[in-house]
Amino acid sequence: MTLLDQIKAARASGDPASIAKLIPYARFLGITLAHQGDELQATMIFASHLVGNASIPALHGGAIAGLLETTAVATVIERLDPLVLPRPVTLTFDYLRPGRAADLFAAAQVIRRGRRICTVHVVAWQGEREKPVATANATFLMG
Amino acid sequence: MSEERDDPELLRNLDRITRAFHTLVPLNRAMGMELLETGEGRGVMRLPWSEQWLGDPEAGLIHGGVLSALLDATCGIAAFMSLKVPSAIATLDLRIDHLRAAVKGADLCATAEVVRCTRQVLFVRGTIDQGDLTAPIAVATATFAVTP
Repeated sequence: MTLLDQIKAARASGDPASIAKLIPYARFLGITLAHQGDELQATMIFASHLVGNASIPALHGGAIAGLLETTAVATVIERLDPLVLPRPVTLTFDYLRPGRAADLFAAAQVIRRGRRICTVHVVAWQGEREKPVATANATFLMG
Repeated sequence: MSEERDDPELLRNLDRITRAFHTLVPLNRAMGMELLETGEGRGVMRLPWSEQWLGDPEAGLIHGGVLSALLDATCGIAAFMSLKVPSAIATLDLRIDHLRAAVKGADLCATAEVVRCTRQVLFVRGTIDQGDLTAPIAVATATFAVTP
């Protein structure tokens, strides 16, 4: 079974959490996935190695980026059934508020699907979704 | 790029603070990022290869988030090294274009330099390669706020 097949099987069986376990860097960041109603949401479980500025403390912008990208990829797999594991083309990240030393949640929306390229918008938040920590726009190649 | 600096002591001071700060950044330390060089408005870092960096273990591709982490760190160092007075900085935005596959087994090297520094905002560009400077893996632009 290819990796993509394993991921799709996990998704089909209603166990998106196991998707993140198949991706080593997602494991390193402590990312887990679950459905909240109809929506796939990711959680980057807080751990001290995810911190950037220890004096605040604030989550590292690079860790936040990793969560946003992983969430986008998982959402593309779920929504668009790509032929290959989506590969990033361009990602832009906007850092809106410091990420506190706490779990960080994220969810993505496919805003355009082309034949080979899709565009995704992702939001990451802690307390209120209306006051996000960061957002991203990402394009991926789907095969 | 900013004008030629006539304050080597400032550069040394910034370098010292940057190196101390870098060793205190948990994610940088946890990932094993190495600070190779600093200069005026410039930073070079290396991230040694690890199986933990894979995004697609079957195809042997490094997760894009690894590049984001390395670029955020390196651009931040370049930004800091352009300051006239040591200050805290925060990433405002980061754009990464993935030019080529980042493949397993090879270290990642990032170079960043400031293209413009104002009192409030620092504009930085960065590149990642895996040993071949003529074939960069990714290019990035980032802006940082100088926090009061």
